[in-house]
Formats: sequence, C-alpha cells, structure tokens
Amino acid sequence: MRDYNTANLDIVMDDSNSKYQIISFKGELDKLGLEKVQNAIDAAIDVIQPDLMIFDFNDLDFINSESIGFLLTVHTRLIKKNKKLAIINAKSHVKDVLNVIGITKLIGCYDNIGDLESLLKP
Amino acid sequence: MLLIFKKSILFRIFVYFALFGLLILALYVYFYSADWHSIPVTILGGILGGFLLFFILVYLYEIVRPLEIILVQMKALLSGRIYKRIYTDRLDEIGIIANFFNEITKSFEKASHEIKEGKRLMNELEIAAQIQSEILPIKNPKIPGLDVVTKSRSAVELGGDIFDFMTVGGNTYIFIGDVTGHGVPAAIVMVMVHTILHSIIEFYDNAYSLLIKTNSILKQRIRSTMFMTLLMLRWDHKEQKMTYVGAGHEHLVVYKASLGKCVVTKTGGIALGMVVDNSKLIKEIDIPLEIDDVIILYSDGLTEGKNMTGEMYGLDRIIKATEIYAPQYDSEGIVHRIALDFAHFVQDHIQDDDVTLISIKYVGVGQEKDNSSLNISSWANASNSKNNVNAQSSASAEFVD
Repeated sequence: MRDYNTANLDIVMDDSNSKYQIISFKGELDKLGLEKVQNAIDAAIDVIQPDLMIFDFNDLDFINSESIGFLLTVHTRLIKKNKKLAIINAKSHVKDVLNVIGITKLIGCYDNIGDLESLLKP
Repeated sequence: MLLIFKKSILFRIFVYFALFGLLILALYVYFYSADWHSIPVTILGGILGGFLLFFILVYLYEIVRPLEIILVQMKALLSGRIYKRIYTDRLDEIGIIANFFNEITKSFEKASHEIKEGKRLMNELEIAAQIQSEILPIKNPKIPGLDVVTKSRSAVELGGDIFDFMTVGGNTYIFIGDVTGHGVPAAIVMVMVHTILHSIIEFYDNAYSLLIKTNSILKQRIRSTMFMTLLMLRWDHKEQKMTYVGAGHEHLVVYKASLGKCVVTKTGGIALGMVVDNSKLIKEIDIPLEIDDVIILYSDGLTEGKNMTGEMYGLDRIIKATEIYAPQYDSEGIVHRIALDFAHFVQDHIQDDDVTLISIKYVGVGQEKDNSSLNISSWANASNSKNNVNAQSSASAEFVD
C-alpha cells in the first residue's frame, strides 16, 4: 500500500493482487494536485506487472474535464503497454461526467470489482 | 601547502616576508664572523630599503592593482555603465571577489534576460489573446426564426471555450465547445478546431459529417491527452428545423414553452480528438421546437463555477433559472438574468474556467431579433444582482438520456 496526498485528493495504491493493481481516489480530481498524482501514477505505470489497472472512484467526489484528459493519458499509456484501465464504483455524478465526455466508450466503467470478471484472466 | 599558498593572499605575503627574513638571516650568517656593528650603515640601509621596496611591490601587485581592476568594474556596474567580465586564475581572496563579481553579473544578466523574455512573452500572449478574441464572433447573429444571444468570459488571457455561428447555404450552424484545460495549449486547439470547421464547412450540408471530418483532422494533430467537447446545432432556415450533434459536450437544455419546463438531454457522442474515427459514436438528432421554446447552450465553466463555500453552480440552477426567465424574457433577458444569477452565486470566488452561455429562442420567421449590438464579452456583475433566482436544487426538468 502506498499513499499519495495532495491538498484535495488522496490516492492509495494497492499492489497486493497479482491480477490487477487497484488505485483508490478520495477527494476531488481537478487541476489542483493533478500533476502530483499524475507523477505518482506515471511511475506506477512504468513498473506495473498485472495487465489491469483499476481506478476505484468510490470516494471521489468530483472530476473535471482536465482530469478526463489525465484518464485518457493513463489509458493511452497502458494500451501501449498492452494493458488496460478500468474504473469502478464511480458515484453517479462522476459517472455522468465520464459519460458526457464519452470517455466510457474507451475506458470500461463498472459498478464494482465483481463486474470486472471478464477482464480478469484466470 | 602549495594549495594554501595559492588560496590565501595573507599566507602568501607571510611566505614572502619569511623568505625575505631568511635572506636577512643568511646574510647575517655570512657575516657571522664579522662584528655586526661593523657592517656599514649603507648596507643596513640597503637591506631596509630593499625590504620596503619588496613590501611595496608585493602590496601593489598582489593587492592594490587587482582590487583596482575589480573596483573599476564594480563601479561600472553600480553606475549602470558597461562592465566587463573579470578574468583571473587566482584562487585567493582576490580571486573569490572577482568570481563573485562575475557570478553576480551573470545572475543580473540572466534575470534581465528573463525579464525581457517575460515581457516579450506577455506581449505575444496579448497578441494571441487578441487574435483569439477576433476569431470568436463579437456580434450575435441574425438568424431567420431565431433570437440568439451569447455571453462569454475567459478565465485567463487565452481561453479554451469556443462558440460561433456559421451560415452556409440554407443552414446556420451554432456551436459551443470547450478544450481540456485552458491557457496556451487550449487556445491553440480551440483555434485549430475553429479553423478546421470554417475551412471545410462548405463541403458539407450536415453537422454529422462536418464533425467526423473535423475530428479526423484534429486527432492527427494534437496530443493524446487533449480533446475538445463540442455541441453543434444546425438550423435549417427553410424547414425551420433544428438538429444537433453532440461530441462529449454538456447537456442540451431545451425549455418547452408548452410544458413550462426544461427538457434536458445528454448530448452523447465522444469528445473531438479522443478517437481516430468518431463516425459510429456521434449522430445528428432532431430537436422538435415550437414557438417560444428556448435552447440553452453552456460550457462547463458555468456548471462548475464555485462559490466561496466550494459549492458548484450546477445544472439544476441553470434549469431553474431558465424555467423562471424563459417565459418572461427574450434571449437577451434570459442570458442576462442567468448571468446575473451565476455572478450572484459565485460572488468573489476566483473564476477557474471560461464561461460561455448561449440562449436560442425560437420566435418564428419574421420575428427574429437583431442582437448584433449586444456585447458578447460582457458578463453580469454580482453587485448588480438583486432579483436573482439563486436557484436551489429543485429543478423540475425532464431528463432524457
């Protein structure tokens, strides 16, 4: 477990599962602190072993369009490494923002980790 | 020892005088057998004279002369005249002072260069902001059957919001868009999209094809992290029919006069620049309009505008305000009132994003209004806001997926 804290956002990385790496977000994902979080996640992508990175948005209260660009970056980098990004537990208003911009057409957005079964290799 | 000799002028002078003393001692040993008092006065005077001359030479060449060179350059620097870099290979106190002078002047030059560069960049940003502002329309359009009014404000010198009205053939295209982030990168993408749309619009007669081509051109030319949300309406003058294509933009708010409430539609699609081919992801959809219906277009700067407690203005307040003002006012009044409501809500909170708001009221052929004299870039001031809605989250709008 690794914690990265910024003014309005905390993220916790959990590497304990061999099938996926789960990163939990708590707070608001906007330009404030985005760079710091981005650096931490960039570093995680560099060394990621599992084929799937999961962003757990259960405690994420807000996301803006600039941060969608960040999701797009993570998605693009993972695809280049033959890996995938998925989002779980997004609150309805956060999911609404993701849907509005259309990012859910590129990145799978699931209600919970159980819905991810199809992406998890045995 | 050699290093100390090089690094310290005091040590060096001490060594010089020690050597001189040794010389005196050697002379003394040489004349050991002789009676010291028998040494002629002239020789003693010569030794003392030589000692004095040696002292003066050391003082002049080791201290005074190099300090003078440094002081001349320091005076030149302080009086604003041209100064020169001091070249020296000395490692002692004089060398330290000379190098200190060189470093200080180098820092001055760097700071001066940065100030000049900053001024140049600011000038260029001002020019860029001017170019960008000239790209966006400054007048509201006169469109058959419609009453259209826009208000827009940039958060920084260069904004990421885009809107425009393009009439080609029997269609008027009204679009609003927002690039990820703001500042220079957002402004460049915004200008790119604007240019692409204006360059290719004549080859298409529908918004769907126009946005597929625009996306295709844009995707090849921007970073993978950048994209632009866009909502494009197409108004068919002859048929008096409105359609829209969503590309990941905010919801479409349509006030239905017959219902007295707003119908809110997710515009769908995917933001421009996200995928290579968006043809399967966007579509052109009809917006059935009756007289006095109002379409509200806005950028996320409006919904995400925060007040001092961090609360966002939100879609519900736009809907509430629209439902109150749309039956009472024309587009000018609607936009003005919503802008007032927004300004009253955010108060003095720093604006984080560009804000654009467009009201399109269907008034019927021959009833269209000439709003060209209204200033698009003026925004309401909270201090003037008296009769604002400051709508709470109790909008009665109908939401359509």
